[in-house]
Amino acid sequence: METMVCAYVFAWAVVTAYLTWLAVQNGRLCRRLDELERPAKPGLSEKRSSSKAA
Amino acid sequence: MRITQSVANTWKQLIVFGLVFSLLAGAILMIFLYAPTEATMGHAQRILYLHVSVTWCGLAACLAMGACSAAYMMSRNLVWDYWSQASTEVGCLCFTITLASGSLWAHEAWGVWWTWEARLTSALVLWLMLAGICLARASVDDLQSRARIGAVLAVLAICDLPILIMATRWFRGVHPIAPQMDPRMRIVLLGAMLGFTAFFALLTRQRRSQIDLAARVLTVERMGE
Repeated sequence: METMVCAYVFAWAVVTAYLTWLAVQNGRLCRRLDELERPAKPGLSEKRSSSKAA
Repeated sequence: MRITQSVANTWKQLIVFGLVFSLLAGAILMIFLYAPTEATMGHAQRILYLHVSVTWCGLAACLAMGACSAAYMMSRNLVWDYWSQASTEVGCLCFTITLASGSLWAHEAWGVWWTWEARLTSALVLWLMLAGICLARASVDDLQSRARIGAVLAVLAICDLPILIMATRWFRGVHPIAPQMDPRMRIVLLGAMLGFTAFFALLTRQRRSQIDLAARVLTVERMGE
């Protein structure tokens, strides 16, 4: 019984570790892409500066 | 129009996720509740459903890795390399579970954790090769160079597959070839193979999308430099 539990718990742990790593990587990549693409949007900084001036 | 498409994609993804997790949950429930307990090994025999299913997924991942690497070498299209990389990682993950569950099975059935038998040794060699490919890929920055190195190593690694599959027939050893099984056990094994295959296929697809995203980030970063 213990051997069987060990095998399934090990499989679950390995898969969970990989899924967690995937989720962390995904979050990091999405944030980075967001950071990189933000200044490229035209007119956003102009709008902000004009609203500040008003 | 874009919002409608995005909502439709989210729904499609949710349905696929739901379906795959239902299959996996069904397979696990069948393993613990429906499969009969074997007379000699008792509950430890239930390791077989995990071991065989995950090994099958690992072999399928290795075949996909080899095919995608060959396709990359012929077309030089990086999309094939993304599939190859995702398959390599999932294959490595599957063989990690295969080796650990096999070792636990061996301890229960043969009284040893490990023996240098042909099938076990070829499985270990394949696992080391897959881990080596992942390490080699991680050490190269350029996308095309990484793809080329990955493809060459992947084609070399799949040369181990025929040895692994035929090891029990070509060499004398202790690993069972095709043991006689109760019909209910056979049904559970098929269900487990279906559930695990769906899960690892989904995992490969998700990882492939992530590699694509990482490549996009790298391209935007280089454009900004």
